[in-house]
Amino acid sequence: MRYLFSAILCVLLLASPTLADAPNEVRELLKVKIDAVVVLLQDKTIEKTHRNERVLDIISPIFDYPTMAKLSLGKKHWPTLSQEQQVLFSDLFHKRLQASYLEKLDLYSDEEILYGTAQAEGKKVHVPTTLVSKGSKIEMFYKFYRSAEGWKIYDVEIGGVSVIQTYRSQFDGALSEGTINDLLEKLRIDDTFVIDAADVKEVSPK
Amino acid sequence: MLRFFYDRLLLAYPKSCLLVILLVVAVLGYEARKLEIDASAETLILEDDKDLQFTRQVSTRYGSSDFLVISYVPHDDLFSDKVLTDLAQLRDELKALDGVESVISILDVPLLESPPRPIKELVSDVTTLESPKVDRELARKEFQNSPIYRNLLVSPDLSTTALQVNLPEDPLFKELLERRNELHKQSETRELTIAESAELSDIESRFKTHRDMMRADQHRNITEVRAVMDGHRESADLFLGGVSMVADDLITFIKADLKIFGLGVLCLLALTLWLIFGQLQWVFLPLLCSVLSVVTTCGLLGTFGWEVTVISSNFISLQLIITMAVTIHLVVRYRELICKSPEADQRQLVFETALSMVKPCSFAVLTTVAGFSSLILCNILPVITFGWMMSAGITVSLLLTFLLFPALLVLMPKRVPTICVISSSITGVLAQFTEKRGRMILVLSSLLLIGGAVGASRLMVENSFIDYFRKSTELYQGMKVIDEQLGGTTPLDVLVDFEMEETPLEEVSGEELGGLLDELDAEFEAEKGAAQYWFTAQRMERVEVVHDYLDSLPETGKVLSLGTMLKVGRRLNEGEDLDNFELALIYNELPEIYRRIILSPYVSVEYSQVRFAVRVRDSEKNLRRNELLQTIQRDMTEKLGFEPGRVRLAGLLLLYNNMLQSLFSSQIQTLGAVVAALILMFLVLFRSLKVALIAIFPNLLSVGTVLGFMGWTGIPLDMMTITIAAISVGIAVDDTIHYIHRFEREFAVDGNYLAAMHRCHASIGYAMYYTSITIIIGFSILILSNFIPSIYFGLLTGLAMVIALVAALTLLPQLIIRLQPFGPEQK
Repeated sequence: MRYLFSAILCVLLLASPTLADAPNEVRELLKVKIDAVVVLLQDKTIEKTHRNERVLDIISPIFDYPTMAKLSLGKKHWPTLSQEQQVLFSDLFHKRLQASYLEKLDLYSDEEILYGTAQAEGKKVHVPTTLVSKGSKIEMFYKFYRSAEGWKIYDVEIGGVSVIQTYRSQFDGALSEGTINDLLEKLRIDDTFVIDAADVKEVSPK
Repeated sequence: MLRFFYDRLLLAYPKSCLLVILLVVAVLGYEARKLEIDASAETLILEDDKDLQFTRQVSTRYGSSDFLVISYVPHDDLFSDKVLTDLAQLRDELKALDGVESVISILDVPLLESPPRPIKELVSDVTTLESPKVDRELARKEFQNSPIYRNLLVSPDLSTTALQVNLPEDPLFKELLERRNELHKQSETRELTIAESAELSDIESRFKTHRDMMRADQHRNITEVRAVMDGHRESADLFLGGVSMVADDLITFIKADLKIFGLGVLCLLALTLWLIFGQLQWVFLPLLCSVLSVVTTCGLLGTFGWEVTVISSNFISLQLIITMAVTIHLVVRYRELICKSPEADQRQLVFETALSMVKPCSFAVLTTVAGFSSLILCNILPVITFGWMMSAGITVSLLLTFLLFPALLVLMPKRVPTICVISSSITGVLAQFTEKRGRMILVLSSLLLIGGAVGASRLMVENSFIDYFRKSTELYQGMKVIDEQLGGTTPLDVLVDFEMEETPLEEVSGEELGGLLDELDAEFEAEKGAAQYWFTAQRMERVEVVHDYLDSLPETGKVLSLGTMLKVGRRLNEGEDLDNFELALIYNELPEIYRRIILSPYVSVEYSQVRFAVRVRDSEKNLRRNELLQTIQRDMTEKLGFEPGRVRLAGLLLLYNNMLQSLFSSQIQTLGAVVAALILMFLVLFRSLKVALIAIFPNLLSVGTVLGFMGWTGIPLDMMTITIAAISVGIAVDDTIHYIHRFEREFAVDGNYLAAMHRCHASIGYAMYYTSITIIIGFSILILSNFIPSIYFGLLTGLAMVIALVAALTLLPQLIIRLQPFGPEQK
């Protein structure tokens, strides 16, 4: 019986080598992606539209846009949407995130990116990074979870502010006063729903 | 009992008695050095005001620091080299003072739009008016249009600028004040434990010691700041303002009032006494009684820790006057007796004088005490304290006068006056008038009463704090400039509660998202209450709507709130609103120094509450405080859609308005109480309802006339004028008591009403006439005060005394003759 128990334990341990190595694996994955983006950004010869397409090709595989869309509404609101609304919302949200990300790429200058020690928590891994430029430091947290298709980002936290949490509070407020259709319409036209990741540089005089 | 006391004790051993009296006075006089003056804003508000608790809570939550404001009106263009250089020099001199922590002027604040630059650049390279290459024309435009600086640092027409002189914080004072208030609050709901009571008394005494030290520092600070200002008066008109300065100036006014009026009244009274009696002893004796009474009362106040406030700042003059009135009655009576029996020995004369006057004087004093005591029925703390103070003071006066006067007089040689009958043609004329024109008196009195009642119905409580001071005072001028040019003086806080975030532990309803997603969702749910996510676009939109609404009200001056920051943010963000994320980042990343200036005073994320700091233009003639506050409350719910419980007002304007609104009810209560008390006393004294009702009528006439006069001339009720009615009835009723008391005796002589009247007019009438004149002259000196309510008080009490005297010498005898309350005439 004792042997059987030990054997099962060994099998279980051997069966999950990725979890034991997860922090480093995720950190490496992120580093590869970001380094690739930085190389592209530093290459001033590439035309902007083309560059953006390539950037999206690089980062999109690690961003889980559908999950981020669901989380931004949370289980309080997401299930109340019809299937059609869910598809539309995911799509608009996806575009929003991408647009705001690309918009800010131009502001990149010569910041150095430092990678901290990744922390694992169950099926989640958080990778801390620091963006260092002249005299200022900005902490960024990339939050990954293990999806069926591998490690994916479900949230990014900048200067202690979570992108998804901010959307959640905003959408929750909007839905407490209006309908989902109002929100969809706003997402379509209203710029206030674009999150500016690069604002961090502007508002953090620390 | 009284006979025994005077005959066997006081008049038998006058020297020993005097020694004991003087010892007691000396001991209490020594305690008088503890007499303190309080002119804090708290003395201007209601004692048990629930809004006061809330206002204190708001100021603890949002923080408040003490500062002075210097309004600077340059003789040249504000942005000229000359003016900016002088301003810089003024600022530097102020900064160099020990008691000044920092100075904020137009030279020190960051220019955000001169020229417009991205936020990133603004932060790394802050430009001010003193930066080398600054474009002054752009800066001029920025100051004129900035949501922050306009109406705060510069007037909209740029003719005036303000320097904010920040005073160092005093953490110990704040700590003591908070603990004291906390213990006071606890004592209202339950009995304090022994330890708590001990702590409270310890804190009270530490608080006082510390406060006195702080006041001395503050006074020195203010004097130094003024000295610095004096060096710049050639280039500009400068005015000092600010809460500490108002309090400090008020203390200076009160001290001046106490001294000037105390001495002034004393001199005036001495002169009056000399003119009436022409004998030094009749000047010396009353003055001595009055002065010692005041010293004793000051000692009592020092011992019990009752502090003198603006309202009670004339208690010394009042007590001198009232004591003088008592002694004059004694003098007149003594002279009457000595003229009647010049051969009687001094001890017998003094004995007779004291004994015959004890009853009417006691009743007269009791009625005055009733007048002052009625003030404790209103709930304005300084008025209540004033009521207690004066009641105690007058009782002291009565006791001391009836001890000192006979004890001293019996030691003096008997001197028969050269003129025995001090006649006044006026009392004679009034006696004739009463006899011949009875009907006319009744008609005139009725008309006066009706006119008074109509006028009283027009009484207003609306009055601005600025109008409490003479236009020549710096206090008035400084407040006027801030009021008209720099966004108003009286603070009002509008607090809006937004819905609180649900607690993270609460289960969120809704279907599952599935598998790991639920875990991720729970992660966000657990953190959703975090402060930085509070700033949603919806909330910010509502904040701005409220901000704009408050700003649009004609009565409001400067409005500062989170809305101001949003407006500045929009200007810097090329006209775009700051979004949730930016606001969250600002909240998270903003260094503490800026957070304390732009966020902490206006938002409490913990309580999901925002604060709109509004300043109201106090000197606005059309300002109707109560209406304004009601309109704001109503509009916030009806027009802006907030639930009724979510909007609360706080701040000095609200507290001040509560006090003003309580004036009407306080006036009715105090007056009602004093009239009821007087009728009761009359019943006890004269043992006849008919006489009691007759006696009250002339007093109602005098108080009705005064209130009517105030109504017709638009003199508003305020904390000071509200006391006039009750006090003047209390003092004026003395005439009635003395007259009726004497009339009863005179009528007993021959049972003839007319003859009794003539004899009364010729005897007690003179005493009444002279005491009234003395009192009126005494009160008239109050017109020299810098504090306008004191001036009204002096004038209106004088008016009440005139009416009371005339009524007591015309209407009162007329009513007595017509209604014959002492029985039918003997043929």
